[in-house]
Amino acid sequence: MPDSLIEVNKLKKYFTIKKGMIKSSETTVKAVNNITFDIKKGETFGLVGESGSGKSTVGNCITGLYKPTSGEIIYKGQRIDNVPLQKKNKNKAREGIQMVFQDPTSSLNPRRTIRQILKLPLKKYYNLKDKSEIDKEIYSLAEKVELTSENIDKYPRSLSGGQKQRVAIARTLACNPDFIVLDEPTSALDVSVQAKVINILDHLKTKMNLSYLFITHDLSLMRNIANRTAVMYLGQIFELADNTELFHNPSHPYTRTLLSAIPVITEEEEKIRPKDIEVQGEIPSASDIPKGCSFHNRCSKAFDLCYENEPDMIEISPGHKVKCHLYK
Amino acid sequence: MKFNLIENFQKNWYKFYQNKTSVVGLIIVITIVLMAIFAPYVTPYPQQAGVFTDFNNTFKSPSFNYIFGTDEVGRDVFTRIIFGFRFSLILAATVLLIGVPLGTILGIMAGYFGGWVEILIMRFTDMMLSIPPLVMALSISAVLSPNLRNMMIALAAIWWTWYTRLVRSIVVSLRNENFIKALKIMGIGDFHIMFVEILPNCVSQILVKMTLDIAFIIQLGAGLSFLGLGAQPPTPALGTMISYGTTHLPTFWWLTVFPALGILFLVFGFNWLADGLKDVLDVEV
Amino acid sequence: MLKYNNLLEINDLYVNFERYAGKAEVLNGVNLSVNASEKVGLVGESGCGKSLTVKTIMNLLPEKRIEVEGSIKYKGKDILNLSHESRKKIIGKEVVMIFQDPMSSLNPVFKVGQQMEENLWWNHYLDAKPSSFLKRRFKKEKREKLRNTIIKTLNEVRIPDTERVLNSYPFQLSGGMRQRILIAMALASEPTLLLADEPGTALDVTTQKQIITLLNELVDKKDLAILMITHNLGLIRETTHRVYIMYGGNIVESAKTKEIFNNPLHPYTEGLLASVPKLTAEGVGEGIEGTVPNYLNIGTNCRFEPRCKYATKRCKNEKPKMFEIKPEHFVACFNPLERGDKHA
Repeated sequence: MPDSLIEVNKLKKYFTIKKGMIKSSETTVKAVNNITFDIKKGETFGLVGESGSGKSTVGNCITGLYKPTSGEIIYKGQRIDNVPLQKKNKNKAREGIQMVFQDPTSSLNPRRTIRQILKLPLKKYYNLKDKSEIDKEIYSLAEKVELTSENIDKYPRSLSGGQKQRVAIARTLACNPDFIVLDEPTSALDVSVQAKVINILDHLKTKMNLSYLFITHDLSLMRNIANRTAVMYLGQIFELADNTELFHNPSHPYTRTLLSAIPVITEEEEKIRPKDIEVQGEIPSASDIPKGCSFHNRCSKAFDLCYENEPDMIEISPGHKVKCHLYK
Repeated sequence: MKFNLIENFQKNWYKFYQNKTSVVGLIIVITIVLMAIFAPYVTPYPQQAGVFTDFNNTFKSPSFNYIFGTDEVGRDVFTRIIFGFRFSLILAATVLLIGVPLGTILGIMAGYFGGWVEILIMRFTDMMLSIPPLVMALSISAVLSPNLRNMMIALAAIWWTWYTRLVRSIVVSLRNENFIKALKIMGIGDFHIMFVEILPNCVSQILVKMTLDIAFIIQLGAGLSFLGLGAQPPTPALGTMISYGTTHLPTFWWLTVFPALGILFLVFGFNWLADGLKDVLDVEV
Repeated sequence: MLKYNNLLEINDLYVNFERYAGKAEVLNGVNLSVNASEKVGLVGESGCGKSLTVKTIMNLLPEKRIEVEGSIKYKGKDILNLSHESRKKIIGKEVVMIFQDPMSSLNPVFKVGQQMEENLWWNHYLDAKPSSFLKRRFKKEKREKLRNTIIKTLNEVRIPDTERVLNSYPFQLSGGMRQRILIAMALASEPTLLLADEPGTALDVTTQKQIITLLNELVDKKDLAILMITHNLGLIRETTHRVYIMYGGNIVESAKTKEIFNNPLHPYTEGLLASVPKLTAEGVGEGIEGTVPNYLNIGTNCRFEPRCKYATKRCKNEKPKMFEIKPEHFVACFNPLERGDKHA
């Protein structure tokens, strides 16, 4: 695809877990099970799902923290799934991809000041040698993420969650990226802090020509920031569409279930969302995925085909794909 | 940035000060260390530390001239104890100077790389750990001649193991932290991650353990000298002095009691200091 | 059964911590009440002091270097200064708490059935004496009775297959199951007041909905009062009658739930509601500038002032007192939103 920055084709990531000491049994956790999507330049692509959906694993595969079991990941036209993360001969294929993590405390080295944390990537990516140049750049980065200069010589433990997350964002900017994977970047933050961080991310995206893969479990948040969204469940994409289309016309029963279950705070929201879809059961473990359509045991609309066959991904309208037997 | 350090120092002192025994420990340690360093200037009879005889003053009980009395050849016990401290501290310092870097490097590598590197290093460490220090020292003394230098070698040869264990467990707890992942995504190499980013996180625990180990090594050293395997006469070593002194109990009690008290204070001092450090550095031992 | 107005009454609660750098005055005069059979919410973000308030009620504060002033009354009687014996009759029996994280609230090395038995047992024996421990081990009829009570509570929280669950370890059960077990344990002593700390926050959306529905049903059925502590405004809207908004160790606004959502009067509440992402795609607002206050040596002022769009000079020097601006709508602010032209 011409304007795709990232292409993910038939991605699979399985983990094998060995249990037991005497009679060791192996279970396979199919974290990501045949996913295909693409991310266009300048887009915020949303990946939404509950626990066990595999959304974080997708992010990890793209950034190279995990090596895919099979499938391809293509970045700017080049395959990167077979390019290891740290290589001495400086393989530059992955440069430009960065990541922001969920837990801001774990994202920063507790024994380093903010200045030292930002200095490292600046020296590597911008090749700055002069101390004053580096300092100038550090202050400029801090300004971009609205972090006041008095925080630069502090240690992470003196900063709030929101400030730490902003440092993490500044660190990715110091690497001169064009694509950032944001794995639940605001889930650990209070809602008022989240709003600030989201605004900062939004400004940066336009100002610095970035593209985002935004991973979260918060559908309401996704509604407000993504251009296109994919809904994941147990390693598969159940529905993928333009944001407006997805939320106005949720087609997969799982998407509708999610939308009816999330707590909302205004009457208007109550009016526009699917109502009272009965939520059955709990998410099965990813090591024990149900046969056929993996949602069949919880779906109020399941019928005999759902128990046996995995549905295909069908395009029900331009750009709107659903993986469900109801749409054939 | 300098203000940071000074500010931190006051705050840390406040924390340290909460625990009165640690302050006592610190005082004891500083006093003994200073006395040991400046032994020739602090002791009343520095020349009596090594080879010296004064048969007019043998077995004198504690008096104004000889505060801890004299030994069988007329040497001042107090002076010898201070010089004995010197040897104890040198022993501890050497063992740790060799053991800690070695153990730390192995621990970081084992913890960071995992896989067969970890297995290799840790199983070797387990093997060495299973040998009690005393037994090891005995064996080495049996093979090489018993003296202070060989005792240091013997203890250093097994002391690194504790640090490998300690550091590895810290590294294992850190290797899945997000900042390590972020560094990898930045393309930062393993060497930098291990020794520039992870190592500072281990320093607090290493420091506390070192302080405790000084006490432990001193005790071991005294024990070995007591058995005759460490420093040989006329070197003033606390253990040797006690060993000889026991043959003269209870008549010439000062030959045993004061060196023993010396070890007691030294060990208590470092233990209490370690306790305080633990609280200040926020370490779980 | 006598119905108390003000089942739980917190008056002018101040909690201070002594630190090297000075005094951290965290709770700054908290006033809160829960009536019998009422569902009340306590909303605040991290650092506002809501967890501390709950810990003070449940007597879970660290003992060193901490000052507590003010009163907490349960059924009219002060519970802050009670003896150990008397306090144990109330806290943990009549006033129970459901903790935040179901993943870590159960002891991983004991079977669930055993933990539930222990929990019920210690409700009757107030002191952990060796004799009571032995009694528990060996008195069979008592254990039978306990078992039956436990199975009854498990059925109430709709856990199927009770035998299997009782014989399982916590890690073998899902998050939703564990939360139900915590609820069952809380309800086993037949309490009058339930304190729920972020119920469902650690759970998936679909599971959370089930748990909250269950909690609502049980509270209604058993005529309990519940104080729900959370930062999730959607949850508050769906479950509570009345809500307190907390910031910086103070209650800044309180009213009936519907009223607060339709008509927030404190600038913080306004900022908070605007920041919640909505399905109607209105964006996330601007957030609220600044960070949570540093409680060390904080002084007397409105604690929200540094971050407030409408702050005036008075806010820097005086602490606003809570007053009834409309019937049953209280706010602690010198410039609440309905006054003058400050309303955006």
